[in-house]
Amino acid sequence: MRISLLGGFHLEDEGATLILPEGSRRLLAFLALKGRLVQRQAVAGTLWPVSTEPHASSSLRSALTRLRGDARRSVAATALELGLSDDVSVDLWDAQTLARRLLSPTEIPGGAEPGAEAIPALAADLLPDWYDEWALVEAEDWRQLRLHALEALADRLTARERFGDAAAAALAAVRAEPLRESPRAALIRVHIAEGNPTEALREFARYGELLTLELGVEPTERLRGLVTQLWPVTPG
Amino acid sequence: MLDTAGTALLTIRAWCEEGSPRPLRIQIRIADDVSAGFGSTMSFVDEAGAIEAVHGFLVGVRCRPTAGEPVTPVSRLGHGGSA
Repeated sequence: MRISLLGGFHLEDEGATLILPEGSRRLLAFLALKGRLVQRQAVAGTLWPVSTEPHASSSLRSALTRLRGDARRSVAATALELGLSDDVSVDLWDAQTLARRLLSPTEIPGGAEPGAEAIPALAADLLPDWYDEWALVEAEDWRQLRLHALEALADRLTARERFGDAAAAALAAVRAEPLRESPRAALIRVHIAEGNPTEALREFARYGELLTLELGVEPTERLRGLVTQLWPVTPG
Repeated sequence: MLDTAGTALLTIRAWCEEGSPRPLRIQIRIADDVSAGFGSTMSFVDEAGAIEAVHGFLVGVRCRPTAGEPVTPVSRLGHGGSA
């Protein structure tokens, strides 16, 4: 059984999608984000914060009851605690492991070097359009992790001269945070390494225009330093 | 206008752009009602602009009145402090 949280909530068992009511979806998403056993009272209080304690407990029992059929196997329950069953996998956990591997300063032990196949997971937001506080905080945490991981992936792919994939990784980071400079720098480095100074200058100009329009500031000297040496390449 | 089931939401994301003479970056996203999702995004390099945006958001939230009662802005309901 697999829970997907990236790009939206999805529950699948042996290839079949399981449809759940909203309360049950929220419960599974919360347990997936926690990744451990949680006191029932804490689950109820977090998922139904504006309810009285008895009402929140009732809502939790209802959410558990509505996990029917195969979905019921996704939760491990004791009298006091709830958690995901051991045989449930979560896409976010795999993506977090991947992101941390990419950000590790040492060589990646075992396994293959991540490539372009890592981009879709790193490009996806956690539970987009969910506005529960517990989901928003986790979503921001994932956002920061994945942005840095995409930049690191772009640099690794550039070093391996896989420029198309490197550009795709950098562009995914740029799309997620268009005003941040570090993804732009990663993209410009790809263009420079590939021997496309015109593209590098064009990207620098685009970013400069955006900063001027949105914030009234210019790119940093550090970014400018990446392209300064390229200026003689272009006419005028 | 919000009814009792509605929630307006504002998120603030702030970071520092190293090397910039004005390094502070603030991004504010606003949902007039979360059921409709985030409707606007604003970016700032100073606290004053962001504070003004937050103030504008709070002043702009209106609660749907019950029959016969005037419209009450959330900012005047007297709820103070944080949980």
